[in-house]
Amino acid sequence: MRTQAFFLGCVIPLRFPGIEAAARRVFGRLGVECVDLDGYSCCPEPVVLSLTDRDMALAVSARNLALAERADADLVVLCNGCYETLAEAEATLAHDEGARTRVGRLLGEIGVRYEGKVRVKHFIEFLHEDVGPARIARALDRPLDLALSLHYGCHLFRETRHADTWRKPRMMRALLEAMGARCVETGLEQLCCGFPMAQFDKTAALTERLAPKLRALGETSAEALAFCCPACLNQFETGQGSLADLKIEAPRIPCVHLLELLGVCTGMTPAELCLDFRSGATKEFFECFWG
Amino acid sequence: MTADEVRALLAQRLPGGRLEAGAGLRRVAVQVEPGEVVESARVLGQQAGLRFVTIAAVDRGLDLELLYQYALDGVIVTVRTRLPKEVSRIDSITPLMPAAEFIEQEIAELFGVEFAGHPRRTNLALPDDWPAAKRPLRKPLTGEIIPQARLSVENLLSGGASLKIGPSAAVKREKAGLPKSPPLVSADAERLREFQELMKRTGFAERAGFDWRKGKLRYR
Repeated sequence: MRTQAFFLGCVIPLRFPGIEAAARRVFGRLGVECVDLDGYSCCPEPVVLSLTDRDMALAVSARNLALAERADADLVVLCNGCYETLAEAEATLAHDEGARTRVGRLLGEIGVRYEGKVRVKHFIEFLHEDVGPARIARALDRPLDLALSLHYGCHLFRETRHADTWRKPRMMRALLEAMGARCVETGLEQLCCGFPMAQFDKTAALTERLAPKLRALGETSAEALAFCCPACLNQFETGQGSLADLKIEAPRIPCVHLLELLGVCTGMTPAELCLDFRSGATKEFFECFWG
Repeated sequence: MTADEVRALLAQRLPGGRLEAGAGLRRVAVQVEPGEVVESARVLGQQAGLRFVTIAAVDRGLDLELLYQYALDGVIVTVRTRLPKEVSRIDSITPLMPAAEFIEQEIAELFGVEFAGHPRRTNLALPDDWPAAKRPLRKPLTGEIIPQARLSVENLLSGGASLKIGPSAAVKREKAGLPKSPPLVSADAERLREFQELMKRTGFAERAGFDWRKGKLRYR
């Protein structure tokens, strides 16, 4: 197995450092050799910036890929949005000669070179394909033994190498099941969390995206909602408070990242997971693991 | 005088100017800094004998572009300059080219450009009691970044991340047993310079209207 470089993105290390700590703990426990991507920048953000200036966005992504190439590592990406940006940059630079030439020229002007040797994987994809659910199950100190609903996040459905857009969402479910969770469906798994819409109309994002999902979750036996995207997790956690401020009724649901769950199952403490800064419902949910 | 002779003259007398490629046999275009506009008028008018035609003003959102047109023997020369809207002031060429008096005055009234040294004190196109703060053809100062993305673009250009790296993040990270700063580009001055140089070379920082001195967009 090649060395992996963590692509942490911006949201995880700055808003949810517990997820970063969990990733380091879990990958270490699984025997995956990981290095830091020293000097990395924003991926950059996959929607607005890519549309505003495609070549700039590609050049920034290519610089990040070049850092991994220099470290002789592949990239394992912890954030859905960063995954989409970097996987699409990897594919574009491999297949679009014009873009490769333009970006190569820009990188050359700052003394950077990228030869296209880096493979980009979402951490869900890496854990499922390169480690495997069975090995993960064996590495845990304790199984989860709870009912979870899943929020995959829109960008997890992006594929650059396969036609099956449900490939990674299925992997996420398989990983959680291997950890001992019972996955509960709401039928709204593909509904966006509302984070992009919230930039333009916060109330609509809360009432048209978040509230319907929370109400559907309230009808199930799910004890928490599991994520693999920090932006979706943030939208659900902060959005529940905003719904309460707007006096819109919806059940309070604990929000947990899959890497946090892996952290819990490999013996991490509440302090290491940085739970002080999370919502009351999430903190209460995690308390059941430590009594 | 041929177009090539005008080009040679401009290259010699306005070393800071950038001759634009693509102009035809009878067209010459050069981009200059606002401070070189009077000198360009001196070179083209007094030395090369070109006549002044007009000035076109274009509101580019962040800047006002002024295109000074000169002509001789069927050759048309365009001297292009950009004024940041925050400045909106340039030396008048009217003392050298009296024919520029009316068009400079019109641009002053309609776009709010101050032509320093312009002799006219009364309005030409607008009533004399027209409010100075209201310029009919001037758009608000704004760039191509949509309001919702402006803060993350500022953070990206100044620190390489879409979120600001504040003290609360360092506290959270220490609590999680992590180093205060993640290995982001902002943690290494040399790498940050490299990243910012890339943003300059792509032209994005300029198009976005980023003020490197202030570390902010010129508009919010």
